[in-house]
Amino acid sequence: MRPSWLAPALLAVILALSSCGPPGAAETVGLQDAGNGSEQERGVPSTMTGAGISATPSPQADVRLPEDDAPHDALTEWWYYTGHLLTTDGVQYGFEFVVFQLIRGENPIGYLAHFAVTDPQRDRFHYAARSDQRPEVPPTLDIAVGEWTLAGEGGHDRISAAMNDYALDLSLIPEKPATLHHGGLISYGPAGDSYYYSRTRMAATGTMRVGDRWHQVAGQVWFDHQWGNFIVSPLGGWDWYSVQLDDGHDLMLSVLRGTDGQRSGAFGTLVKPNGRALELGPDVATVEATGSWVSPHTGVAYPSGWRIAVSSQPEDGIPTIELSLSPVLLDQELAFDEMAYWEGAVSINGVVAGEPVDGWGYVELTGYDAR
Amino acid sequence: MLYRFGLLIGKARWLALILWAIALAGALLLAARAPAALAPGGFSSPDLESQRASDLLFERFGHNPATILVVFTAAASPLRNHDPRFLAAMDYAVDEIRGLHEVAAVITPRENPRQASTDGTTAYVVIALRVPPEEFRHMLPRIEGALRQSELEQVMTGAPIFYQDIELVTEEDLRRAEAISLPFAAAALTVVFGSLVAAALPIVVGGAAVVVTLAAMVVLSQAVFLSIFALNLVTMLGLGLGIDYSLFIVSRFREELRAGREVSDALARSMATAGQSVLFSGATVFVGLLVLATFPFPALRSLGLAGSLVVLASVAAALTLLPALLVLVGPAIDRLTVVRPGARTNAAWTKLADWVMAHPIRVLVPVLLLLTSLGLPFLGVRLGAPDASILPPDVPSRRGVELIQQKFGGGELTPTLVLLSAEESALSPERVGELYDVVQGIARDPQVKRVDSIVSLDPRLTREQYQLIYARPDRVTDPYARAAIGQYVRDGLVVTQVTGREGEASEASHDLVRRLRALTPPPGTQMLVGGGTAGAIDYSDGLFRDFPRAIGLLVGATYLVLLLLFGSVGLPLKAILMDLLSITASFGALVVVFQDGLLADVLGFTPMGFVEASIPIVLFCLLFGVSMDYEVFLLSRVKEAYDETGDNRRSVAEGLQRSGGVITGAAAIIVLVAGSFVTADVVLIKAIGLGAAISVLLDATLVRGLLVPATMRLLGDWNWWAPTALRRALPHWGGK
Repeated sequence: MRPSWLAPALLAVILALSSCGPPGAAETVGLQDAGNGSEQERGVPSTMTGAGISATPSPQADVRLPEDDAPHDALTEWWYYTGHLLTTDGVQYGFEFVVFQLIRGENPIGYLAHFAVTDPQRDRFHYAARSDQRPEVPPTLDIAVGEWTLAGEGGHDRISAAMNDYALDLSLIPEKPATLHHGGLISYGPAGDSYYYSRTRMAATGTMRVGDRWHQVAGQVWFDHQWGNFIVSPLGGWDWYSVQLDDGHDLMLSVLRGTDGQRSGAFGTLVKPNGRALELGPDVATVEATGSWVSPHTGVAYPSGWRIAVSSQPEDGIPTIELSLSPVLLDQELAFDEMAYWEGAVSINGVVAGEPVDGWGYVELTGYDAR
Repeated sequence: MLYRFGLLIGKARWLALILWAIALAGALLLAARAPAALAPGGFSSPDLESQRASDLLFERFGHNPATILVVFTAAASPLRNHDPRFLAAMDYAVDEIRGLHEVAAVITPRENPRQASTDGTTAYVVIALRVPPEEFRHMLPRIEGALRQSELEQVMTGAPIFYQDIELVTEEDLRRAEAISLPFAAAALTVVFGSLVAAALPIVVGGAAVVVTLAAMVVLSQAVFLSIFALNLVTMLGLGLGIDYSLFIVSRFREELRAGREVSDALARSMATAGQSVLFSGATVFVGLLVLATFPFPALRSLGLAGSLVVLASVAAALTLLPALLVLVGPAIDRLTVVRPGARTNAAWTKLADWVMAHPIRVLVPVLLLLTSLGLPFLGVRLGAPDASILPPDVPSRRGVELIQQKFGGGELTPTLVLLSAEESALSPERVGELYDVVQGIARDPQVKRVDSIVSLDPRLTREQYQLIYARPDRVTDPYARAAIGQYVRDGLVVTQVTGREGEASEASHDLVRRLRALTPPPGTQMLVGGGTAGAIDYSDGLFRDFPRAIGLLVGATYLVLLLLFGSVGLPLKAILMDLLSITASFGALVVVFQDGLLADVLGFTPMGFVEASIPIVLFCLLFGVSMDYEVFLLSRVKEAYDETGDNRRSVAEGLQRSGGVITGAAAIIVLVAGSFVTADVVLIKAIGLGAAISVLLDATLVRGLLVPATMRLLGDWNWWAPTALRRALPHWGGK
């Protein structure tokens, strides 16, 4: 018997952000000096200035992999998978699968999972949530949230989730080394600090059920792992962009809004095709929303469609990048009682170092729900 | 005056008997309902800080702070409290309880893992109630009926169960005490009177007083709170006093008959002498118990009210029912003689009085020292509020409490609640920050085991993080924080729950509450500190804040009654001092026995480590009057002799001699009746029974036999001195 309060509440804890900036407003990402890197070439984080994400220095992250793939005794932790899958008969789907872990004192450890599928063929976006609790932190990444499961180590992960019309059972292997963002530790200011690394490109194979029919699928997955003694404040929010380009470049940008609703910082990482991670310095990248969408479910207005520009930094090996991101579906909102957020698949086209490029990505928009 | 009243009753005996018969017939029907009409509890007062905290919690949270706990153990199986099967068994047991309208919430270890013991053997479920625990009679059958028996061992405890157990045990105590005391009292009466007819009359009078009082309590209970403990007090006092008073009058009546007087004259003379003593004795006991009714606690008020009632009933029965019966029986009172009374006993009292008065200092000093030293342990008294330890160990509520205390620590069951209220929302950043500072301060207290509040979710959370968590009170998304709000916040009111390292009764816990109360609340915030330990402190402090006033009132009123009776300035003072000595000695015994545990095995109880705070007060008010009885009877006899002879020394000897047998008999009966309550399972009743028995025993022996003659001798004619103006102003009692 599981307490029913955990499901909506835990969701809200992780994602609740309220102050919203005007949809469509341009965001300039203040970027950091190079120095970030893969787990092989991790940089030392430096004090953020100007449009940086934090006014205080983040301590040096001590992230050890694969040990740190496993759950931690931390206030907040999540394992976040977003990806694009193709069935053998050529149908494309986007998916989000995330497991949140929340630890508060001697209370049972709370787990919440979200599973969402973007089905552009049928113009459908489906999502569901599961919650669970357990008495102790599992020693390895082997978590069941209801009947949904997540297990793995070193990026060799297996995820499994099912809802009414869709189910997924995927095996993942990393195609690039793990990337530490901002030295592996980012600060949310008074809300606390978070360890943060990604596996920006993982190969996925497995099966997917659509309706009653199972399909073989393969595709590309982005994995984020954050943990730390931070909380997700109901004030502020973030826009998060993950970009996987056909030429092998991967890009992560995150724009934070503080408790006053104003932009409080931003950070980003460019991962080269060879896996080398480059932290984007101040004023290196800009993000501009090109449109907006108002949810018919919640009335919440979100930016929709974006232009990302990264100016060339030849000394750091950062090429000029100009990208256009379009939602695969406008309606990719996950709406729960406590709060709503938009997390959706986007298609990408643009230019990298003068060469045309296409790609896929995911965008997460939190803190717009001011209901 | 009473002579004429005696004559009148003699003539109207049938009317008196018929009226009593009617009253008793009606009273018998009502009296049977007394146990159900009386209620446990009443150990708090709306003015007390802890009660104000409790009332505020009830008003704002909609459920009572007093909960029911179901304790589960897997003693006979290898199951551990975190095993799914253990948890499922608990869920199964309480599942139907969740749906009851009396139940506000059911909290299992799934929601609060602290409810599972660290040794893995025990866990408990909290049942929060929408109704106060005093309504256990209506609520418990439904809850007990809905509780399923699981594969685990389970026991229910908590305030409602405690109250139910008190009721059951008290009724059983009463039956046992009656079964013991009545035969013993009858035997003692038979020995004193020698005749079965004479012995039967006091029992009839005592019984009538008890029945009428119980009936009156049933009626009164419709309008005022009456404690279940009043049941025992009424029985103890009604039987004791009814028999005592009858004993004095019957004894005098037989004496007058033996002196050759007519029945009506003998009765009238008995009424004028012994009847008058009964009236004044009754007045002193009545005043003492009425003083109890001035205390702010319903339990004490009801004891005072019920006690005063039974004294009135006893005096009324002794002065109306008994004379009617005496006239009816007449000389046949000596029929069915089984023991021949001898003169040897009375002569012994004369010899004793002579000897004491020959060596008054040699007697006075050691007896004073002895009585004072008996009372000395009372200086080390620790006072506390009644808890489960007043019940026998095998009673469910106590078993459950002890199990939790053993497995979870002493302070777990009685956390202290710190209520901070202000106009501003408790969740504003400023107030959250202030609360955080307060809670951090509390948590640093070495006596604090744990603090639960909206800012105690996790020690890693910072002040700023808490302010962020609650920044949008309508959208608090952290489930733990939201659960904490539901538990601890209502608008501007926020509750912090402080669990101490020790139990309610410990001095360390009391000190902790005092330190919490000394905290300075944030500006614009009102603070109340409540909870079990705070309630116990308020209870003791409240009782003893009013105690000096009660003593003053009691002593003053008694002095006036005795002044009226004896027409002396010094005698009442002496009588009061003697009385205080025997009461203090019995208080010392209370500490040695019930606090320190002497004779605990023999008397069959677990030492409480403290004396229940109301016991000294109840005993004082009760014994001050009861002990005074013997002084009144003795001194009345002495005064009679003094009025006849004007010889102080002779009158003391004569008074002792004439009252010797009857006071001995009366005291023996009180000691037996009160002593029979020592068999009670409720420690409170046991303590009152023992305290009363000891005090009366000391009073009837050391005080009456040694102290009174010694002091009377030393004071000489000063015993009877009063300013002339006062003497003239006072009414003249006695005679025709």
